Amino acid sequence: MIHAENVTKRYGKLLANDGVNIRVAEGETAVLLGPNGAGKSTIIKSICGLLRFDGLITIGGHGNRSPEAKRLLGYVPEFPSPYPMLTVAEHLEFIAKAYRLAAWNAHAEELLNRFELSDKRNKLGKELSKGMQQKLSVCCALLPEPKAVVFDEPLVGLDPHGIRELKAVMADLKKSGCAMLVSTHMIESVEENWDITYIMIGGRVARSCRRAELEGGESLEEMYFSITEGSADAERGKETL
Amino acid sequence: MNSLLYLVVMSVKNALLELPRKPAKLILYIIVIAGIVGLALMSTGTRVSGTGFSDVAWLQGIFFILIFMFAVISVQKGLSNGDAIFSMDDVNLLFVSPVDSRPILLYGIVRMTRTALWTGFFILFQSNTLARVYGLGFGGVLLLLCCAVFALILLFVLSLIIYSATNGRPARKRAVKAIFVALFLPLVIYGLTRLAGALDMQGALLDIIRSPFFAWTPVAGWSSAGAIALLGGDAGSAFLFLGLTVLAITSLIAYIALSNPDYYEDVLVAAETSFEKKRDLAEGRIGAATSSSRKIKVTGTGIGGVGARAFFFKHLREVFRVNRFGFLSLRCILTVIGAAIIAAFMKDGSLLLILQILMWLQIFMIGTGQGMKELYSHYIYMIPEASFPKIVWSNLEIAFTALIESVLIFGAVCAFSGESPLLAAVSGAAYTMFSLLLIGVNYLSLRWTGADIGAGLLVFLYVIAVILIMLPGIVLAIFASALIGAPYGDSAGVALLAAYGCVAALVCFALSKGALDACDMPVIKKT
Repeated sequence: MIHAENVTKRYGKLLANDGVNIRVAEGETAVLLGPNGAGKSTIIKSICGLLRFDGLITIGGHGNRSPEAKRLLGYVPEFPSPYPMLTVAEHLEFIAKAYRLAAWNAHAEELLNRFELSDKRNKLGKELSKGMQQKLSVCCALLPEPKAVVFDEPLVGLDPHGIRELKAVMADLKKSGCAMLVSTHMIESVEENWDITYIMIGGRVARSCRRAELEGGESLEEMYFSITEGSADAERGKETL
Repeated sequence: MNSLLYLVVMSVKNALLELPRKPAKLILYIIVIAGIVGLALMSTGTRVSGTGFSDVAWLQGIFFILIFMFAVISVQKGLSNGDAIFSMDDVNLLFVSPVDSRPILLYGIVRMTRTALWTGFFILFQSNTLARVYGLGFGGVLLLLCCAVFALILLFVLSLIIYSATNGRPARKRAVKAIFVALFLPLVIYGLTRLAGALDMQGALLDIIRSPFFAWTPVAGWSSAGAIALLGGDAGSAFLFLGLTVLAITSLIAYIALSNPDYYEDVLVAAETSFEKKRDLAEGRIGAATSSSRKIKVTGTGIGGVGARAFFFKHLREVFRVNRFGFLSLRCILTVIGAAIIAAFMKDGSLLLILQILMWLQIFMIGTGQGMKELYSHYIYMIPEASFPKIVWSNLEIAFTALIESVLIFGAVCAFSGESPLLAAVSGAAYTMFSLLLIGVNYLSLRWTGADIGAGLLVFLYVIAVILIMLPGIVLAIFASALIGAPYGDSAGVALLAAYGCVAALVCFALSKGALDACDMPVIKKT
């Protein structure tokens, strides 16, 4: 469903992504891991059509900048940015109108209830706390019932209830066949549901691994540290030499 | 070395060392320095001794209004969050360190002086005008700048004290507002009585400016009277009024330092608010960074339109929520009043002058429209509609705003100046078309640069591009106006300028087709 092939992105002289390949099939949850500055947010923004890049990105077989791809894709950004002068309910109404959704009210109501935003429907975007803004951002991304969703640090700022609900929503999305790409530093939060992981270092995918490929009960967290700290040790070794 | 001195020295040193790696900043500094030197030379060259200059009292009036505006802003800040004297790194590192809070306050005030200097800097750029109109040399302009800086420092400290005294105390806030009004009341009453029934308005205004009510009005009156006395060589009055300003600054600082050494809490909210705004900008939440903290009552709700049209209806909802009069913003009302005053005094030629001023201002104001802000949020890129309709519908609001502003401003100018209604109509059309052209140039720059460019350099290139694009139209307009001559020459020239603006805007929009699919979502880059 989400297919990024040989994606390279430069910011001037800085090579943020260097030939990145990512595939997420229907019903799969892919976890994007890596230290700060590894290029995770860049590949996510490229997939969502927010950055130019060299290479190929398709969503459901459509070029990622096409309206067809956009109709299939939902995006929860790292930093939620609601419109300060729209109410919570108007955010959902705007998304519904802009996406030309039919009979969206019931789904919007369900999302508001799940994320405890029902009583905040007339609150303006600027009046929401960071956590509520994040919940609203998730609701806006999920309202068009996308077939693929990209989450960039989705749990940051959420309260325990929000975290539990988002995890439940992600499990439901997985069951419904939705492809998900989740970038996070909170590895334990995705330990239960991941199918494939891409560990990025220095703008490249240092390792991709399916859950079944883990050996001897190794956890995702252990594998992450073995790769990232191994890479750091190797770098230090080179410097010493 | 003293820790605070070390902090100042290292900050300056690192800022200088950083310059070669920040070419846009370096260019900006070079342009500013070259501009000041150039203006100093030009103002010396254009200085004419003798008569023929405007009465310096008018300069006193303008200076008073300038400081008064800053005073209003400072009092408003004091009643909300206070002025941001310290930054978050000061709060996190200095406030928790074992350094005495009094030297830290002094350090904050030294930093404020730098801010005040930057704020008052534009006075230097008026050197040429001040030399031509008032016969003021560059030294005189520097004296004006110094007086403005003193007044601004006083207002910064005043803002801090107002916040400290009124935070969480509504009764005290009301008292501060009442005191602020009361301080200006004698001048207002005197001014109204003097103006009532006056046949010679200019003479009456001059009498008001020269009156003691004007000079003794705190801060604005003191600094303007002091500055003019200093320029006129009246050492006694200069010492009196500037001395009052300096005395007020030192008294207020001494009051804070002696009575409230634990002032950290009072400056924390302002530092946090300022930090949040900077972070919002850095993270692309331009809407949050520019929205006010004013409480807004939600009445009507809902959004019309489907597809790309939803953007326009969303903007309508946002515009009317910010301001109940919708497109008729406070900025628009103030512009109408200002234009009407210029027209009433200047009469002939005021229409073209106002058109020129507004076109310059519009170059920098166009980015405040909802459509341009939309570019910093991911929704406009991800909504499954073609790029061009999204651009058009998301900018319709600013086109409406420009049209309404045109009708009101040029209607008022026409009424007060007695200039030709035809010239007013075509001036309005030229202003509206110019606004559309600016939006087009913005998208064109987005299309061509891919938004992968520093904000400073982008603004610089944008201004150059606008000048270059408009140049042929301006030349054509001047040529047509000279060719046709009175009484319809000016109208024909401006009409041609409007038509040129319309065509240029359409070309820019056509060339920027697909801009949203061919650029990076812009972020605020500081260099």
